[in-house]
Amino acid sequence: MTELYQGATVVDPQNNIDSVVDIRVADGVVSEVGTDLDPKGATVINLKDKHIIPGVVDMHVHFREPGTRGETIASGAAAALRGGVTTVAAMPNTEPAIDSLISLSNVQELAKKAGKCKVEFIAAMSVGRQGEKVTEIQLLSDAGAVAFSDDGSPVMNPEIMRMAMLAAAQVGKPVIQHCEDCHLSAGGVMNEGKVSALKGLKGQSHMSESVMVGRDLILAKETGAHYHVAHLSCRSSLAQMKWAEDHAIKVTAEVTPHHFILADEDIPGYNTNYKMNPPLRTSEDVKAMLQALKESKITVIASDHAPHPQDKKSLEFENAPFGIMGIETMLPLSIKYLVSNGHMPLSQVIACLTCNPAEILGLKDVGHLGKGSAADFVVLDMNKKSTYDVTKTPSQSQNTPFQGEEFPATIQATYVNGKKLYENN
Amino acid sequence: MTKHFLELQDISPDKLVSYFTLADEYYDASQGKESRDDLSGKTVANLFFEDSTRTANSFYLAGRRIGASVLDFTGAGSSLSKGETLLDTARNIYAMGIDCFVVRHVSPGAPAMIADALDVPVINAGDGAHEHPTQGLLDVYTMYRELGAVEKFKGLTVAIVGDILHSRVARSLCFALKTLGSRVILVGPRTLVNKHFEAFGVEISYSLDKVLAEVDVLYFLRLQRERMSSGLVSSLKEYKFLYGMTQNRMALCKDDVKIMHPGPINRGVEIDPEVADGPNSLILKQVTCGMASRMAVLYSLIGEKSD
Repeated sequence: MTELYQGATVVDPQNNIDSVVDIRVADGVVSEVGTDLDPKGATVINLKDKHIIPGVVDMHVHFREPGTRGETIASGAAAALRGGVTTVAAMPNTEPAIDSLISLSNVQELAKKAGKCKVEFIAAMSVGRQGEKVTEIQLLSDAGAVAFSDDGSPVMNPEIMRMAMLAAAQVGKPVIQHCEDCHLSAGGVMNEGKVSALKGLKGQSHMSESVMVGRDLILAKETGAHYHVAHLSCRSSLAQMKWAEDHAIKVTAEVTPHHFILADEDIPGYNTNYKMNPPLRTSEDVKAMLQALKESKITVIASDHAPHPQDKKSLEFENAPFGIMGIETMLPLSIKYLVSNGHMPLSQVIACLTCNPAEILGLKDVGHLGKGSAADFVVLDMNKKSTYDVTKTPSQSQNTPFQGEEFPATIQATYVNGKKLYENN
Repeated sequence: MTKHFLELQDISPDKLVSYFTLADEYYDASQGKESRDDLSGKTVANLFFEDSTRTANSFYLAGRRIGASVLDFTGAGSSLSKGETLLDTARNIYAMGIDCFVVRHVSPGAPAMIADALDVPVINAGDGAHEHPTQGLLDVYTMYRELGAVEKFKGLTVAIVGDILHSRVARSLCFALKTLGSRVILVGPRTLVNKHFEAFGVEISYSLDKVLAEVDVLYFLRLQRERMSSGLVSSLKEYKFLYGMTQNRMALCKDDVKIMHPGPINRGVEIDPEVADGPNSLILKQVTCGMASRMAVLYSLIGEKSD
């Protein structure tokens, strides 16, 4: 089986391609990329005036399986395709946590059965995500865990964190921290600032994030671990990142679309679809996130896709769970707010969504379209507007602040291993 | 569109004055000296999800004395601990045929949630640390009856003293006073009065003694005992030393300074008995004005001529 995708503008940052080229796919693998490829023996797909980008790699999602409601691996993986996402890394904040070989193989099996996007797993770095005992990082790594994180339960004990970092450094995989000092943030449900004062809600200070970033960077410097900051959200954390840069510490960071688009002042009333952790920060922080992306201080965009069922999100703001969906909107929001707004060239944005996260996770076959890579790609129409309608989602949840958002581009189709698994009708 | 009374943050001066006018009209009825039937045939439901006696009683009597039937529903604790969600509870009671909800809840925004979900007027009777707008209204109405004219709010300096961080009363009063053009100073320790409150357009002082000579009204907030256990206040003794209103401090004030407090008071903590019961105190007058103010709000939402 050979297909030839002709005439599209291919944006493949890893391979420095940003022009009209043809892509030949043989048995789900990219076999040739170049101009005017010979169509003989191939099924030709004409994509004139369209764009092809590598499938998006979303390194921070929550698929809730096993044990919690709002999503399954299958429903989340289907929603991913609608958002142009072909590979995800799922967080281990499940019930039970993904902290052992058996729990890891269980979810790997479920992902295989779903047969939608590729689902990789981040294993817990401490047993039960309790922050007390480091998991079998070597064995979990050998079984395919792509990174280690306790997700929303940050490791508060610095000695445990240090040991986890040493073990992760041993296997050459990153440690991902949800940076939050839980003493500083205790009880906080939104950003601490003018807006929380007006709403009468308990805030979490930006300090709760940057204090943890600072602590961990000191540990990363000594242990040599690759440290990755999940959903970085405030200026004071960027200042810590600068220190790390000056000391050549191996550190990377991701930012979510909502943290470079929305600020605390944008929360309408007590709408729980604007409640997530870390919370929406100030408009100055939003500007700083954009600047950090532009200057490649932050090199990854991730969704922190956190679906929750409507009955839970219908509770009082204080009592509703943290988290919003994001896997379907990450790519079009990034195009709208980064490219169309003139902040960044398309290729730089695509790198943040594809090859940069793939490299951090050590995934060599995805995130780009070089010869021998998996034929995971997205066909975009950059001239056709679209409107987000969450009611059509295959996800089991609908908790998004972006319902009805208009996008300047349209995701036309998503391919995984050369197979068209999603098409926009 | 259904009208609500949820917050004073964006209220207009004219609207506040219209409540004063209505409250004046109801003043005699609020004392039980006159019986009225403006709300006959209407049913008001008090939904109190948080312990309260005086606000609930005040609303109960206010409704009854102008002819409404009043249902008292109390369900302390959050919806989570009860197993039924807030909206389910509200929908259930609404199905009994209710014309107005009066909602007290520990979570900010809870009354607004009910207002968004149901087609019925909602009065916020206090939601967490957000607002307590009928308290704010009755406070400025009490001042108004002392001042005698709305114009006199301009030129009035009010210090609100205590735990601003957790106080819905302080927020609503701030907004009402700023709307009427008064000068407001928030006074308290740095742990309870943070810099973000400058967003309210007010001044901040960490010293009570420094502001005593310039204020016309001293408004004291109740100090909750749990502030000690959480470490925001080191001890009652230290708090009283810094912010407690004593006779000695009275001597530093203007002769005609007014003393106010939303109640219930901690005698000997934020305010000494001699001050609370002294000639400058408006504390009981606030309770009286509260009845008239709540009648005004109820009438404006569900009365025949409500606008």
